[in-house]
Amino acid sequence: MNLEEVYERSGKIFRNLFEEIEKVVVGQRDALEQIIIAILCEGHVLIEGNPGLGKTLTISTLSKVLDLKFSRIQCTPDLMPSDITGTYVIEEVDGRKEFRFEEGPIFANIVLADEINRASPKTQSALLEAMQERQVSIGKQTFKLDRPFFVLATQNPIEMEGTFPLPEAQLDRFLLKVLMDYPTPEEEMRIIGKYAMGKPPSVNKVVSKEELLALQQLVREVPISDELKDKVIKLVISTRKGVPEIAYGASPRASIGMILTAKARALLHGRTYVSLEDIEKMAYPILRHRIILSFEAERKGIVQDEIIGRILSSVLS
Amino acid sequence: MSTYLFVSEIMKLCRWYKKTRAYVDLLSTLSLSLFIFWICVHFGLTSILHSYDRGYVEIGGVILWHSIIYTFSISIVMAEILKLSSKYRPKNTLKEIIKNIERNHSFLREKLSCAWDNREKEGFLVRKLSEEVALGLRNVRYSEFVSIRKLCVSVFIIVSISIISITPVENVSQPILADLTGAVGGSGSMEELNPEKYTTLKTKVAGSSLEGSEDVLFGEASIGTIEEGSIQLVIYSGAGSEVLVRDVNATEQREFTTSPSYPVVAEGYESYSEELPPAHRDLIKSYFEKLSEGSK
Repeated sequence: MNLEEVYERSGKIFRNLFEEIEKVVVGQRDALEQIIIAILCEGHVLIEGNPGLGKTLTISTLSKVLDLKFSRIQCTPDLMPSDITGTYVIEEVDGRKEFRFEEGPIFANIVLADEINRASPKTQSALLEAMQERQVSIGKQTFKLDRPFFVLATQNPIEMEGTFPLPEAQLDRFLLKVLMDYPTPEEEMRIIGKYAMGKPPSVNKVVSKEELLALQQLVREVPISDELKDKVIKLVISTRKGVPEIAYGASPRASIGMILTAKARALLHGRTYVSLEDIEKMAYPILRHRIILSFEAERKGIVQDEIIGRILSSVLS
Repeated sequence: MSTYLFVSEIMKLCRWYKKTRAYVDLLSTLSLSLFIFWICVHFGLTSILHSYDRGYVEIGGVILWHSIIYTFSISIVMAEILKLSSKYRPKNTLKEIIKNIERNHSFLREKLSCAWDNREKEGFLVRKLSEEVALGLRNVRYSEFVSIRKLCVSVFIIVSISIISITPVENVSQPILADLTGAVGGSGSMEELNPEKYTTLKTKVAGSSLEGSEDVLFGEASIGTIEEGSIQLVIYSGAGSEVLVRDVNATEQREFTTSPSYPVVAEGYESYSEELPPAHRDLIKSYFEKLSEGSK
């Protein structure tokens, strides 16, 4: 598909995308924007929010609008890796018994792993390996996953008992960590209007798979100035030393992710260049799951966003 | 080399800016030098230097004292040292120009620097960005890069000091007047410069260069004497003093030969015109008529 044609249409594509999703999902505009940015960057998202905020609804609506194959994995402590990747089953064909590979839910374009912190570390590893390699190895065979491929994992901050928190090395594989908060009173009124009265709305497809792949290619073409690149590097390096509340800082994956997501945000807003505002907005979802707080900071109840805000003011001023 | 249009526009602007900045810097250095020069003169540095070196240079009929030249050289050097030690340092002209344009034109903010940093890259979006920037650059005027305030301050200083310099200032003429009274036999002190006092200059007798001749035409160096009179001497400060004091040395005796005499011819002076009132004209005419009648 011609990139120039796609660029000319990109404004209209994004407008239609948001309009269609907002028919079903009320509010959560920032979270929605960040999820779409992650999709444009071919990155995976970790969504954190209390139950009932529309995490699953948002992702399933997104898959319908993007005309992508969607699958949901409800993570439980007894979930096995084969339940995610798939397994060989014995099948009788023409009187003979043969092994046939039955694809698991991971063989989709958008995979929702609900409450990933409830799955055992072994199951988590299987999922995370598929996320990283975009392929599944079973026995001697390797199965490539279809493009585009996104994993949107959710975490429930309340029910932490009996859970297996993701290790830091695994958290780094998620491009963004998106926080979903409670709706405002006005938004809640609209939610009631949509879901408690009358028929729930439905959505239509607005973006084809080819258009999405072209948009992903276009994101990498967005130019960025040398000054902003320097600022991104300074920002990430600042998390590694000089901040007493941070025990471990962000890796170079954070620098790559910040520039890529800033480019995607610029394209989403119809700009042909990356601005400082893009860096400032994307710093939070990029860094909040990559910086490990010290015990003292956790004891004081300091949150990652607070420290990120402080680092941003000192570096970008 | 980048093929984008805005790159050549920026390069052209950069070349013009470098040239203009050089002229403006020169003007500001000159104004600073003149200001320092005026301070030095005001505090008597010129007088001190003049007491050590009373030489002068004549350029096109204008007399320039060595002390003035030294003072001006010192002020130029001090002006350069002050400029070098100042905090302002233009680091990179191109970056400076780009920052300046982005500051004055909101449409080009962040766009221009992004386009400039990606000028060597090919791509659809880079091309689109460069087109937007080229369009925005049409609103940029070269006059935005000239600091009018700095220019006005420099011109004001130059004009003010020039005006002050041509106004008579007692302190500046001190060394010159003192030297003059010294030459005429005074001690060179300020007391002797009182115009009410008489200054007596004695003429030495003119002498002849021929040895043994009683008729002396040329002789020892003579200094004019004005007896029982007062001299009102006005000396203007600044370049080109109207009083020339030379060291008076003994003249050399030379042999002169008698030259043939030439008939004296009275010729009318063509450039001279005399416009006398009619009554005066008649008076003079009658005077000469009577004089000629008397001689017959």
